[in-house]
Amino acid sequence: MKIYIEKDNKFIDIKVSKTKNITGKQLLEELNINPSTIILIKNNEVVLDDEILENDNEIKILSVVSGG
Amino acid sequence: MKCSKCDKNAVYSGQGQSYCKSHFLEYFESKVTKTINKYNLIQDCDNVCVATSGGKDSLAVLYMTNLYCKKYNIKCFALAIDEGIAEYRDHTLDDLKIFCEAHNVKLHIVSFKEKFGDTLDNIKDKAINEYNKKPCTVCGIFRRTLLNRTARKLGATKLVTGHNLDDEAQSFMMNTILGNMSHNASLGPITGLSDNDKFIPRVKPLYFMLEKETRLFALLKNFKIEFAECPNINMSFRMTVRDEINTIENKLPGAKNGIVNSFLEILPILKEHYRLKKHNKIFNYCKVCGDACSGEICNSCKLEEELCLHAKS
Repeated sequence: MKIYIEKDNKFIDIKVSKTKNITGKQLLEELNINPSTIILIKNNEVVLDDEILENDNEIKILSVVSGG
Repeated sequence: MKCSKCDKNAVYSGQGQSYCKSHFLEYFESKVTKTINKYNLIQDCDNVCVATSGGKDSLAVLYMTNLYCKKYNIKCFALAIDEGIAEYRDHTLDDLKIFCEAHNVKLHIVSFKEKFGDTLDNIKDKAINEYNKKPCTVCGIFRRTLLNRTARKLGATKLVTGHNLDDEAQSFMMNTILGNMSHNASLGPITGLSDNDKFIPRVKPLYFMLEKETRLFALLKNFKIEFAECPNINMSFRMTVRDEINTIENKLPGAKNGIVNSFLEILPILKEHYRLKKHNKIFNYCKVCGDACSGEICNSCKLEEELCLHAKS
């Protein structure tokens, strides 16, 4: 699964088991990202963190924090 | 999860409700309009200046204010400050120019370089190394001064800012932690009303909107915004408080609302307390620039003097 993390401006690749689904919430926990600070995008659509994510999905994690 | 109001997929969930794209936009616009009306933030006779930077909060507040003003035929324009922060402000100002052109909003830009003689990038090393001042302190004082002075010169009667619920919760907690309770008396959805004619009242239409809601609104409205974080934010106490409040919000959803609503309950008491305390003080005008201040010289002019800057106007 290709994941773009906006705050760090980087792409990461994570392999997800076909037999075991992963939710957005689990992915964020894995990446140690607080859900209240991001917007989750799956295949260019905004989704909630209960969404099931699969290997061929393109994921973006947009940051909501202020510019400063 | 489905939208609470229709059978479409939800894009947002909070406070017991879930919304699809169109119902989220409706929720956002309705809540901001209610805030404007409830606190009488904008009136028919106003000439409204929207302080904006091109970031998500200021584009959202500019969009909403412009929408409201057009509906009621109220004068409205945008004002941006270019502090001179390379690879940051130049990007957000580019987005802002495109936005204002598309939405037919008159935009004024004034810079630190033009008004204080130098950019923040050039000022900050000296401020940190020689005067032990953080860039955010310098930037905050100069920005506030320049916004107020310029808005006044342009004939504004209200200065709209993009402060949201997160900002307010952070400010309240920062002031409380630092023991600056009197500063909390200057927070709230509308400030600067009773001071004097040198201060343009500041109003915050996004007061009850979470930062996450504002970003989502900007995203769903297709506002062109590049993620840009000020390079100086790592040096700020605000970032520490912001991260701690976000951790609490994640464990206890609604915590930010709780902080701000509790603050609003005590705000009238704080205002009364500090108004009474200030009652016997003589009100001064800055000897250098003529702006209202509590001492002989205002903070901005003091800072200019300390940093050996030379204001051009």
